[in-house]
Amino acid sequence: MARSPLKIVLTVLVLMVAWMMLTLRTDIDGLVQEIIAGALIALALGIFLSGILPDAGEGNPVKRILMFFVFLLIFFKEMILANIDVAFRVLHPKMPIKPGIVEVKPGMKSDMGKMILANSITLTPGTLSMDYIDDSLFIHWISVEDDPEEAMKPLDKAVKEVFP
Amino acid sequence: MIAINVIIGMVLIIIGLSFQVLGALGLIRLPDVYNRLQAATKSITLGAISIAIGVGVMDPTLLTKAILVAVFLLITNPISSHAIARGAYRSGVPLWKGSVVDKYGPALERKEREVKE
Repeated sequence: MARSPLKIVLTVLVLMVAWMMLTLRTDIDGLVQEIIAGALIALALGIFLSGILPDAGEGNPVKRILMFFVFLLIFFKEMILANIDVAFRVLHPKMPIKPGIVEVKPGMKSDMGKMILANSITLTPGTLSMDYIDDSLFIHWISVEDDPEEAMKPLDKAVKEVFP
Repeated sequence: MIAINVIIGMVLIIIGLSFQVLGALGLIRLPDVYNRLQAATKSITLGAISIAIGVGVMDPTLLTKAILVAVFLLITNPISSHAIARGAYRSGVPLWKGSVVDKYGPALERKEREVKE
C-alpha cells in the first residue's frame, strides 16, 4: 500500500481538528499551546496510522470531499424522515409493519464505501443492515417494498460518489 | 429575558427527549429483536445527538465537544446494532411470525456449506 502524501496530510488535518475541538481554549496562550501540541501529536499519529488506514481510492479529492457534504445532507434528511417513520409506526394503534430480510447489491467496490453504506442504511427509514455475504448486503426491512434496490438508490448513489 | 441560544438549546433537548421516549416505546411495542433494534437505533441515535447539540447550543464553550460526541455516536451506534442483529440471527433468534420474506437464512446456509467443502 503506497503512503501517498495526500493521505498523510488528510489524516493529520482530521486528527488535528478533532484534537482542537476536544481541548477548546479561548485565551491566546492556550490556543497557541494547543495548536503546537495538536500538530505534533497529529503528525506522529498521521504518519504511523496512514499505513493501516484504507487507501484514499480513485477520483478527484476535492470533488469527493464536496460530494461528502452532499451525502451528509441527504443522510440527515433521511435520518429525520426515519425517526418520523418510526414514530408513526410505533404510535399507530395497529402497528403497520411487514418485516422481512431482503438482499440488495450495492454498486460500490471499496470496503470503506460498503461500510459507510451499511452504517447509513441502518439509520435511514425502515432498514437495518445485517450482514454482507460476498457482494450482497442483507437488510432487515420493517415494511418490505416491492423493489428494495430502487428504494435505496439515492443513498447508494451518494456514497458511490464519495467512495467509488 | 432568556437568551435566544438557551431557547434553541431547550427546544433541541425537548425534541431529543421525545425521540428517546418514542424509541423506548418502540422497544416495548414492536414484536421481535430485529424490529425493536430498528426503533431503538434510529430514535436513540437522533435523540442523543439532538440532546448533545442542544447542550452545546446552550453553553457555546461545549459546542465543539458536543459535535465530536455526535460524530462518534453516528459512527458507533449503527455498528453495535448491526452486530447485535447479526449475532441474534446466527444464534437462532427467529423472525416474527408476520415476517414476509427471509433471504438471509438460505444465503447463510449456502455460504456455510461452501466453506465446509
